[in-house]
Amino acid sequence: MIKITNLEKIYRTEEVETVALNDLSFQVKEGEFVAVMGPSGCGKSTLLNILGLLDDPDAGSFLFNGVEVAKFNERKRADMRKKNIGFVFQSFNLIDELTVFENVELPLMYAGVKKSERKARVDEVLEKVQIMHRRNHFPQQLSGGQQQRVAVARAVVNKPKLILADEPTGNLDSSNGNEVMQMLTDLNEAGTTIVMVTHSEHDARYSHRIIRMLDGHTVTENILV
Amino acid sequence: MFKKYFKTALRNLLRNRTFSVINVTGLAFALAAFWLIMLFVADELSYDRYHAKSDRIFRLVSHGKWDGGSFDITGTSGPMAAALKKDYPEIEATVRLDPTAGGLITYAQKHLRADDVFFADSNFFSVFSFPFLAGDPYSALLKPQSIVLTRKMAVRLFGTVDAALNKIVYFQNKQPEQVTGVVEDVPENSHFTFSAIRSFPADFNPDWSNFYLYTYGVLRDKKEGAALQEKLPGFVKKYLYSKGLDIKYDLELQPLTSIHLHSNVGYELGANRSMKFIYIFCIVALLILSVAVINYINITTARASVRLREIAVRKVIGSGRKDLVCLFLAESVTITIGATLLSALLAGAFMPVFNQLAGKSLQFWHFGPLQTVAALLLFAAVLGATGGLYPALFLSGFKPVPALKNQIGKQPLQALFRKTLVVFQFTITVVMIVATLVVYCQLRYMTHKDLGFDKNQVLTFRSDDENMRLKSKEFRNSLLADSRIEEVAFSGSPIGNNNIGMGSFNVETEDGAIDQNMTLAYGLAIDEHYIPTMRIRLLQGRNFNEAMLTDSNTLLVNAAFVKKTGWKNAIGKGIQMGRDASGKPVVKRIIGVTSDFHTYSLQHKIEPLVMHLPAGANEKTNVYVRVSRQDIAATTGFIGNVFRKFDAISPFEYNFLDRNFRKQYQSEEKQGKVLLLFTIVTIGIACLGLLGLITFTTAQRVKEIGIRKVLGASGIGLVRLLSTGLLKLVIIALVIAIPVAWLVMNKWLGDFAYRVHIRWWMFMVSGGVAFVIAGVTLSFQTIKAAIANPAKALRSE
Ligand SMILES: Nc1ncnc2c1ncn2[C@@H]1O[C@H](COP(=O)(O)OP(=O)(O)OP(=O)(O)O)[C@@H](O)[C@H]1O
Ligand SMILES: [Mg+2]
Repeated sequence: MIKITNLEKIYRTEEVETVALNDLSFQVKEGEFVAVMGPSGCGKSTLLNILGLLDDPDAGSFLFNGVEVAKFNERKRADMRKKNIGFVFQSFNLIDELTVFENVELPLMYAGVKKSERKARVDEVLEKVQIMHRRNHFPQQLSGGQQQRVAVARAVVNKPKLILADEPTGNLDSSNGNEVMQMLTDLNEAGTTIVMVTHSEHDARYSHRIIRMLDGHTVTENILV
Repeated sequence: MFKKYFKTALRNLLRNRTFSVINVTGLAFALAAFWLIMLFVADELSYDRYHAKSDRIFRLVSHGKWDGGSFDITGTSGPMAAALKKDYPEIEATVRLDPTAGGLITYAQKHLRADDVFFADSNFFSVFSFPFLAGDPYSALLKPQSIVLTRKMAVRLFGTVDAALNKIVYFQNKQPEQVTGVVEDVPENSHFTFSAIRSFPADFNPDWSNFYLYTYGVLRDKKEGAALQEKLPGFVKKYLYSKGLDIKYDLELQPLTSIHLHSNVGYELGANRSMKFIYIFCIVALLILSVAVINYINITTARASVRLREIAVRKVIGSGRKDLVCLFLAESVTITIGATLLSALLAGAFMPVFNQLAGKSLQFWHFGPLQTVAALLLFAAVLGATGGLYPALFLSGFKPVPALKNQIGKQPLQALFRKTLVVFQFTITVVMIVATLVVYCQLRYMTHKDLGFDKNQVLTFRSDDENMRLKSKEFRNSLLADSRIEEVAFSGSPIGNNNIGMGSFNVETEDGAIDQNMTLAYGLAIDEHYIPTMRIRLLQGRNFNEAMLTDSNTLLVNAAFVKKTGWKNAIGKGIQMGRDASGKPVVKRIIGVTSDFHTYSLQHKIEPLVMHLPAGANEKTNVYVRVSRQDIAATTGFIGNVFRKFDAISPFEYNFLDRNFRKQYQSEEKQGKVLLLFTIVTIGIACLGLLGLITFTTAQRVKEIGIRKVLGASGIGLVRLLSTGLLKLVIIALVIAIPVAWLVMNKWLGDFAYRVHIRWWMFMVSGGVAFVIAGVTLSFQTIKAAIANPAKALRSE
């Protein structure tokens, strides 16, 4: 499903150039659950942003489902993104002005799903992440774990083929963290491909395969299964 | 989807109350000012358009020019109307108005003075459209001694409209006229108004050389106007030059609907306005609106930092740029609609004040409720969309990845843009403050300037009764019997409220010959008490003395006259004043020279003036009474009683001379007040915007301020840190505003013959006000930020 070859990303500021990704290549197959690990600053988030089509690489190729997307323009990327990809962030990134229900509903609206169907689907995922009773609350009224469950619900509501998670448990305690990991596992078992960045060996053990990065390229790959 | 945008927008606005309140109130006040001005302008543009034939009616005016003089007047000669109609088939009809029909109207025991009465040709009511309440428009003026009254006049005289028809009223107590019709009152948006129209007397037979009638005509086709204008020189040649007219003379065709805003010649029938004033008004309206829209743009883009993460998240989960633009546009449209609704309330509330200031009776629902609401909403939507477009594009343009991390990035262009807008706002504010100051100084100057005589404590009224004029000496003595009456004088023309007539004279030159070239000068008949009553200074020679019979052959002139002729010594010089019965020229000798004094408002220069004794009792039409300072009410009561002893019929209607002069500045006074009102509104809106801008830029720097404090920055140092940027902008604005204001206001002052100079202190005051505004607004937020607890600021991340 994902095939990147010789990917490169360089951040240029006035004084310095930072090579965030350096000649990075790997593949992720459909249905896989991959964890990306590595020290702070080695380029994990940069990689995830590129995989999620939020950012474009400076060089290299990125085949998504066999389509070369490395040179897509903003509009095409946005379109591809909304049809195929869901995101989960460490800091949840819910919209404070919207209720739980509306936050989850948003991707469906952008995808142009009809109102009646939207309601059914949102209710269904909220049920699944056990947050149904809080559907009309605003994000600030929820605990961190609850907020991350809403964020997961929002990521999956549009049934994306790929979920990208950047340290999804980073702001959570261990029991809340485990709950979220269990949800991701369930999603993966239902067929969704997952790429997850994490600092925790414990969380990485939920995945099938660990890609270890250092200074912008892969050093090892552990197959866990 | 649409509803969703607005729901989200509304919720966003409710959550960010400071932001919304600032934007909505600012816009609402600006829009209210905008509506008021637009209604005002619409009213000004509607003048005379209510006539069914308005686009085909024209007025003729005269332009004369000769060596050393010229006139531009509404007056045309009597036979022109008929000759035009005869010679030019493209003219459907012509009609003449004679302004000398006013005077005392009597019905039974009721006596009213009405000056706004005209004699008119019988087709007056088929040219102009005034709805008849009684009588018939086509036949009402066919017979001599017919009169058509307005509703108001009919009610004043007869109690009801119905009672008026066919009654006989008397003019000046002797001329009977039959009421043949009653029309609706003349609408306010007319360039002339009347309370009655009389048919011409049967013996009315004006000649070609007397230019005092108003001539109007109707074209068969409105497109014929330009071509007809081309033919008029031929007309003048045929009828006027052939009759010995020896000056360059032109007739001009004025479309009826352009008279109110474009015509400015002598003897206009009402207070016309200039199109310049309408443009200024429109510009002011647009400026106020732009100040408010700038507020919106500035605050919204400044708030980007706060909304950055929301924008990023929306993008990450699939929102295209289009969706975001729609959302932000929905927000701005919601704000403008809210502001529009509020502005309608505000405009309604301010309407009476505005009407009073502007001297109008405008109505908010002038165009009908449905049309008004539709227009308002449409305007709101357009305004919201245009004002919101830039912020929407700006906000939706952020790249998601840095935005997610709350990195707004450097926005040098954006910052420059915002600064430019702030400078623009301040420039507008400063220019408006300078303009208000200049207008007020000029008004003060005009109402306080020494007019060359003492205008205070002088009561003036007309003496209409011939008997009273003949007994002027007795009348004067009866008044002077009371110690509160200081002096009494008579004159031929009233001063202070119109042009007194001009004449042309042949004057004696230094070498004793009579100059064949004409000298143009005003002429005024005054009695021997006039100079002392008015406290006019005599520079040379002596005043008239009626006891000396030879003084009827003497003259006084003013200093301007002496200056114009270039005499070394004016006393004894002769001026030719027409010819006597045997055709011999009459030469009168100058016995005195007065200092210059104003006979009209300060828009007009003091012209050469010749004063002579009244030729007969009929030239003693205006009475001037100087009264003492104490108990004016009782004194006027006393004068009224004496007046009635000499004239039991005419109503005693008096004016104070200083107020007569003051009335000439009414239109400038109104301009001044309206300008002041809108300046205050503009300042208010600019302050609000600044407050909003500073609130959000300071909020953006909360963390920085916290860190600086932890590191030991002082409160004052922080205030300085946060203020210098804005104060720099104010200085730039001043630099731009000063020349602009100077140019604009010098142009405005150009209309006055006597005017104040624009002085540096006016700019200093305006600049000071701008600084105070900026300073006060700044201090709200910066002091708050400077004294806030830094730990709190740092924790909020
Ligand atoms: N916008 C940017 N401009 C310049 N350099 C950047 C930018 N974003 C990231 N970098 C640099 O690129 C490198 C990789 O950053 P990245 O955020 O991908 O690291 P990471 O592996 O996610 O680290 P962490 O585990 O701390 O989240 C770092 O050296 C970082 O300083
Ligand atoms: Mg990271």
